[in-house]
Parts: sequence; structure tokens; C-alpha cells
Amino acid sequence: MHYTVNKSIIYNPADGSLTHIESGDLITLPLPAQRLLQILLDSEGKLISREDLLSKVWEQYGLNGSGNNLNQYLSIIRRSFSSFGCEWFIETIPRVGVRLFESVMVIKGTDVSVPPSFREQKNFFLLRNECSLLSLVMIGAALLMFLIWCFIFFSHDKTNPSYITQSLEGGCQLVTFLHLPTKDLASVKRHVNDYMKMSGEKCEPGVAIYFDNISSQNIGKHVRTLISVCDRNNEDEDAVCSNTYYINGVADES
Amino acid sequence: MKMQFVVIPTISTELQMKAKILTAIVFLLMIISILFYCFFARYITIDLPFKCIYSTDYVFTYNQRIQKIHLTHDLRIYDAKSGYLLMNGYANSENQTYQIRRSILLNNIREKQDRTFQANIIKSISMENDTMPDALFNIILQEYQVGNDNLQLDIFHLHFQTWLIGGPYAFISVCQRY
Repeated sequence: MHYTVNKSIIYNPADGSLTHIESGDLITLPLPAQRLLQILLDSEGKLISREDLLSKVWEQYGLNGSGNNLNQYLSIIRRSFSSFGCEWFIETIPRVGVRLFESVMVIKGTDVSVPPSFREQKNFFLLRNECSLLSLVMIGAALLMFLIWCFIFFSHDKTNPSYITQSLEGGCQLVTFLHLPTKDLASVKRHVNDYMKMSGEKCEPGVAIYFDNISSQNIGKHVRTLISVCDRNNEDEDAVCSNTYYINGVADES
Repeated sequence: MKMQFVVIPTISTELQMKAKILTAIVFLLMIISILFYCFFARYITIDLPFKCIYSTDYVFTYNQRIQKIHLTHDLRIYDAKSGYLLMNGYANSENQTYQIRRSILLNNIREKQDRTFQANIIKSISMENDTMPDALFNIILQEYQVGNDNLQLDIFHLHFQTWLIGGPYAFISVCQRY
């Protein structure tokens, strides 16, 4: 059993020590002061008469205590708490008795068998702080990982050229890229049909034709055109592709 | 007076152990994420090695003359330091047929922009049975070049194992990754 006062001072009845949690400073109280403090801490803030204190601290132990003795040990307790930053601890009610100030908060702690030493207490608080810090680190790390994975996921395919697929008469698929102007689609289909006839290919299901004629050098007839005819297998994958790459324009070939 | 009665637990070695394990897991995941990010930052979007084959008929039309060159290509980019482009095929020109057996050796392969790679051409090796005049072959090679010693490739994913290969001027071929 031990007591924590105002979350800053620990009193250990086993050895009569007061420990300041923050600094680790320790004061061992004399025996009468220990008995006095124990009574005060167990009083739950109730008023205790001077006679009662004299009786419980001295007479029950076969000793004779005086009013001066009582004042002296109360003073020792006050000074001890005051040195640990607790100025308002014991309130004296003249000619009646004493009690703990209303602002004093006492936490009664239990332990398995041995009251925790200051070092253990300190470790416990440090551990709690470390756990809080660890939680923050983990949340931050999780957030960082989430952002990285989001970045990778969303940026993964953005650079691939978008394309549209449409069926041609006969059942083959024409694949053109989105940068191809829509108005050119009709002429693209004508080009592709001409190419298919010229090359002896058949537009039938299972055939995909990739077409593109956008070039950085498109000036007049100086164009570059790619027509790729791919046979797709049962899994819809392009199994074999035959590419034709024209420079200076399809129209010139005849 | 406020009185609170609480039970203060003793230090739990189990808690300490859990904290250590969690810390280790989190840092491991962080390291993996950072490495993964660095990998993507370096190679960005294409996992290497990248190996792709394609067959292309190059049809040049110039002053009403048509020149056809039939080539199969094997493009391999092993890593940032090494790669090559094999070109095998033939060309018919003025009633002559030329054999083409060339290897374009690459190094210093870097991603200039999203999936646009540039590489230094270390050398162009002609095999013994290559009979193609360099002037004719260079017409093809120039479709991939941005300088005498620099090759540029766009490598875009299209469909399953189908990838699009582009040069500095236009998309040149569709290839099959293997």
C-alpha cells in the first residue's frame, strides 16, 4: 500500500518515505510523523481532533505526547510537503483539530506485495510516456506508409496513354489513342481497311488493330503511322503482333 | 477533498515486449515502404528487367520511292547500367537484299520523364553476316535517337503483356513482353 498526493508525491508507509516523483528526491519521516501522516491520509479529508491524534500517535504506543510534540511533527510534515511543492497540505482548525486541505488529492495505491520503489514508479511513468510516444510514432508511420502506397497506387498507370477500342465491320477491334482527334476516326478506319486489304489480313473476331499517326514531326505529308495487327488468344491477350511503321505517310504507298 | 482509489499496476514485461515487437514491425514496414518508394522513384513504373520482342516492317517513302525493311527486335533493359536492342532482318533495296544483324548496346539508362527512357549508345555492333549499309540502317536507328549517342524510348503498358514502344518522333511498335 502506498499513497500518491496531488499526483506528485508518493508516500510509502513501509519505510516512511516521501518521494517527489518529478525530481526523485526522497525524505524519510520520523516515526511519529509517519503515524500522523498515515492517519491524515486515511481520514478522507475529515476533521481529526487533536486529542484523537495524541491518542493514536503516542498513547496507543505507551508514549506521552504533548500539544507541542503534535505541533512539531505536523510542522515536519508541512515542511516536507512544502519542499516538494505542496504548500497547502494540512489545515489547522484552531482549538478543534486538523484536516487535509480540500484541494489535496490522495490516490491510494495497492500493489502485489511490495510497494513499488521510486525507481520502479519512475520506470512505470517513463514506460507510459514511451508507450504514448510509440503510439504517436506508429500512427505517423502508418500515415506515411498509407500516403506512399496511395501515391504509388494512384500514379502507377497515369502515364500510360489512354486508348479507346471500337469494333470494326467484320468483328475485329480497332484500338486508337485518345490523343487522336475524334474527327479523324473516319479516315483512320479507311486507312485501316485499306491496310487490311493490302496486307491480306482479315478483320475478324480475335484480331486487334492498334493505330496511331500522331508524330512530333507531322508536317504536310511527313507523317509517321503505326498500324499493328495482333491476334488475341482465348484469354484476350495479344499473342502475336505484326507492326508496320510508315514514314512519310500511308497515302504515298501504292 | 477529492479522494480517488486506483490500483497502480506494476511494470509489465509483456507490455514492453509488445511495444518492442510493434516498434520493430512498424520500422520494418517503413523501411520496406521507403525502399519500395526509392525503387519506384528510380525506375518509376517499370519493373526491371524489361524484355520485349516485336516484329516491324519499316516502310519509308521518299520521292515516290518506297524502301521496306523487315526487322525483328529484342529489347532488353536489365537495369540502369545495361541493356541492348537487337535488330535482325532484311531489307530490299534496288534489287538487292541486305541482311541485318545488329546489336545496339546501351548503358546509363535513365527515366527522363514518366516512362520515357534515355540511354547512351555504347556501340552498334554488326555481326559477320550483316550486309546492311550503315546509311540505310541509320534511317531506322534515327527513329530511336535524340542524338548520335543517345537513344530514347517510350515504354507504355497497353494490355496484359502488350507494351507500346515509342521513339522521339512517334509510337513505333507494339511489343510482347516476356
